[in-house]
Amino acid sequence: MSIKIKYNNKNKRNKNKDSIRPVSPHIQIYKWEWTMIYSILHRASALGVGKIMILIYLSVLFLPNDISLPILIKNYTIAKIIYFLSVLCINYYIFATIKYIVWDLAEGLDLTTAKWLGHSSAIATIIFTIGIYSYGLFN
Amino acid sequence: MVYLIKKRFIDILFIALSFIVMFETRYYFNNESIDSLFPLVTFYIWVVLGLLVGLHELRDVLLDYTDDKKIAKKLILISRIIIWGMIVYSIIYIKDLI
Repeated sequence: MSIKIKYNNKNKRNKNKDSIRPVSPHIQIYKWEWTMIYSILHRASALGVGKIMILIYLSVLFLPNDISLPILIKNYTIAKIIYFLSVLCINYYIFATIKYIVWDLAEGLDLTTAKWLGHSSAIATIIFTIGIYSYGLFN
Repeated sequence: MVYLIKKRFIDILFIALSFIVMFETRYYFNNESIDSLFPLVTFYIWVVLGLLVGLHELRDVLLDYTDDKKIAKKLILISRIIIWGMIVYSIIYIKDLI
């Protein structure tokens, strides 16, 4: 005989509120690992990518015709810093996503390879960021 | 599963366009005259895809911290409105340039 339990969203929410459990991704209870750090960085970079695109859109909408983003970046230090962080963010997202695509193909899932995939994506990010930042500003 | 495939498809497109945009930075920084609309169109598609990436991730993060499907549905609706608004704006903007 099966027992049917009425389990609506409201009950579920209250249950989660009542149980004092840590929220995902369990940062409070797990020991910090490289894979965990890279995963959090991937999330942060993806959110960053969204914000950068909103910034680009707003700049297209509200900047006067004679001022463009490249002019701002070339002339203001704060714009240079934002540009550097944006390039860093986008590059990290690109390389981390390539890593995730490799994992989706069921390759490199063992712990050591996963860790080294993370390291290599971070190194590639740094090299590409410096390259693109210099190419954009000083070419 | 469908969501993941969709997300990865957007990711791959975004990565491909990112590399194109990277090599076109000279147009944007040196104010070179753009002979074709290709750099501009790729740039706008890249921006829209980047927005999609950000919104997908925002939805994932929110779903990590809540079991409430209503919030996710609202977020999907808001993100769709924003993205379609931006796609329409991009088309109008590029059409004006032609």
